[in-house]
Amino acid sequence: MDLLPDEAQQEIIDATATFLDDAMPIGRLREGGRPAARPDDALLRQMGELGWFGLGLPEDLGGIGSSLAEEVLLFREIGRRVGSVQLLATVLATRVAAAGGDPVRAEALVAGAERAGWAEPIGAVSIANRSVEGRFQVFDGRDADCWIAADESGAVLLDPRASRAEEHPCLDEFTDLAHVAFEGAAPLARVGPEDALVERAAVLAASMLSGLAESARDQGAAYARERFQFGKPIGIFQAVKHPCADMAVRCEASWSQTCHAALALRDGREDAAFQVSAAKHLAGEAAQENAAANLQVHGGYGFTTEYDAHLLVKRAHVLRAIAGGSRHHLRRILAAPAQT
Amino acid sequence: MDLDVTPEERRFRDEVRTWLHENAPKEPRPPTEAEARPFDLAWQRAQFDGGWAGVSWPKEYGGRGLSLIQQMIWHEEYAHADAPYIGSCFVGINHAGPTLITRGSDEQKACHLPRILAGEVVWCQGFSEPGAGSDLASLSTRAEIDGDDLVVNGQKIWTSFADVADYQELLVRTNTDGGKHVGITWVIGDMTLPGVEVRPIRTMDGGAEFCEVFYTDVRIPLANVVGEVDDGWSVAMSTLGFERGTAFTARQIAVARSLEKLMTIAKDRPSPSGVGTAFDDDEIAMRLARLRAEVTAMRAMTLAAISRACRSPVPGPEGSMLKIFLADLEVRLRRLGLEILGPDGLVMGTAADWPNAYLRSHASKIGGGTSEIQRNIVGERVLGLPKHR
Repeated sequence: MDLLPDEAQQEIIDATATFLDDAMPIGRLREGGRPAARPDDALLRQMGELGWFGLGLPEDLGGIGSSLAEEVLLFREIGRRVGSVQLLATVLATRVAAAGGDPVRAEALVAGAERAGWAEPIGAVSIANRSVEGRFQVFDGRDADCWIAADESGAVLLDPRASRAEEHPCLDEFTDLAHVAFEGAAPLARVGPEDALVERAAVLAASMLSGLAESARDQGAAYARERFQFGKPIGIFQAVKHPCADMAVRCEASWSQTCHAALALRDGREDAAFQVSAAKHLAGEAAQENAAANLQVHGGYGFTTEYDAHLLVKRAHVLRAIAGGSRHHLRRILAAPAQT
Repeated sequence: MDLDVTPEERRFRDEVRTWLHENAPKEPRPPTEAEARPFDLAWQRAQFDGGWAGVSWPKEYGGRGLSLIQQMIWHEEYAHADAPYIGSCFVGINHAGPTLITRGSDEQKACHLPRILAGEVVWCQGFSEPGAGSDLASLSTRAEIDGDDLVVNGQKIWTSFADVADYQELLVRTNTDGGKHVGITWVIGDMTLPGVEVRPIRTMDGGAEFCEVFYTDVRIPLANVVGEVDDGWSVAMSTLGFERGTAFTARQIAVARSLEKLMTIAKDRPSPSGVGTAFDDDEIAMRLARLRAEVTAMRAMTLAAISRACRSPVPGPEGSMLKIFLADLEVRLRRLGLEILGPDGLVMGTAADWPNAYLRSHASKIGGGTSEIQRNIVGERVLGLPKHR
């Protein structure tokens, strides 16, 4: 029993962090603006070469053959740097294409030659049959080659050209947002509930939210160490120090539970769905609360776009909306059998 | 990263479960301290006879010498077996004993460790004072060296079980030159010595576990000093974090069981609005769901803390994070319990002790270092924020 990464997993963390610090630092959003929000074609291919999009995919399906445990380590790092939802969508779309009878697309997605957007169901949708019906909120879908939608009945890849998306400005200006309705469109590929795609999506979203919560904690603590008022660094005052400590506690709960959930799902444990929902809910809370606390520590600067605090506040809401909102997960938590 | 236990760990769990099932007292722990003392000691003796005394103590000192994972399994099974609260044996087993193992002389170890393990003596802790709570190092109970003795004058407070204890781990001020952390001495106090006076303090839950202890010219032999005179702060700190998270496993499971009971109660009780059960009330349902998520996260945090402890011999601040999280959780759980019970929530002595447990829950953010002090520790040691002192 061990909830911490082993040596090989630590290498994944270190290599990912080093790569992303150079290729996708959070500061890119200040300097590069909206185009920097999503990886360009060259960077996406580089990530493909690093094996990211097939990391948790079995080797016989063209993947690296690692597991969800390795994927959560990767997505925590992506979340820390406010990475695009496309990365999560592309990893999962690869699985759907590979297992759902579209090997050509799977190969392109694994290589980072194609990218996917995320289509979150709005209300009740039908994706279990040969035709897809219902309304979806699509994240980072505009320049994507396909969209992935998932619920407890399975997951599908959707053709963006099969319906007319209505684009909207997003609360998070670094995320593309569109609403779309499908009325009987044929999916490009489809997997059933046995692949637990929606559970995997929730765990990866929880990883990104955990990473985001950690970024907020680290930004807040750094600012509290550097910013002087009344002749002292503000982190000396308990009115600032204690909210920072609470950020650390939320990070510990969020990340520990996300690992707990990833392992439960990987190993097919009976309580996996419960653990996943607990992770998604707590990671969402941690991200939102920490982002708000970090903004508050920054005072007036936190309200400006000259600092990064606002990015975390906004992205937390987007990631919370992915793979089931908090209420959905709280309902599932409540419906689970006794947990002792 | 792995949640699985090894076959040996599974066998160990079976062994623990069987032993606890056959040996843990079935009758409830008596409510008064005077009656609880013989009960606690008899249960400690039974664990000793069964080879289960001092699960975290090294074997060379008579303990069971369990690995951290085994300790966690022991505490989990202990909670599942509804085995009694350790009560008056807590300080001896979990604090004084480990301190003597780490810093005591051979004579001190030989004199005290076997008696603690065998359930022959009760220890209490004389650290806090009326003027030295969170700021423990400002303690001012004086001890003057006079020949071969320390002569102690002053007062301690919040001393659990002082009225039934044989010995005390006592922090006294032997030197006022230099900083407040210098000049403190850790000494073994005999509670039967002349000049020691104990007065119980009634607490808001009706208990009288807490005491004040007054010292008037109490003569304690210098041979009872653990470590060096004036170096007691480092002795006191040497066993902080000794449990390394494993102690939280029992509490985590106790909280989990209480919450599951509350889920059942909620499905059985009318809702505050009178329509359906309390479980059908959306606000109550969502609060139960949040607590359930937090309780399982508490287990994940405990596993993470133990995993960390397995890799590093140096205690980290994870104990403080666990404590902040758990204390907050306990208070909200107990408050929700009262709301779900409705009118019965105000009736003492009924409804499986929920009202009493609610009152007790207020201690969880205070005892063992307040949540505010824990936040200072996390802020300073985890996040590197500047100390205000």
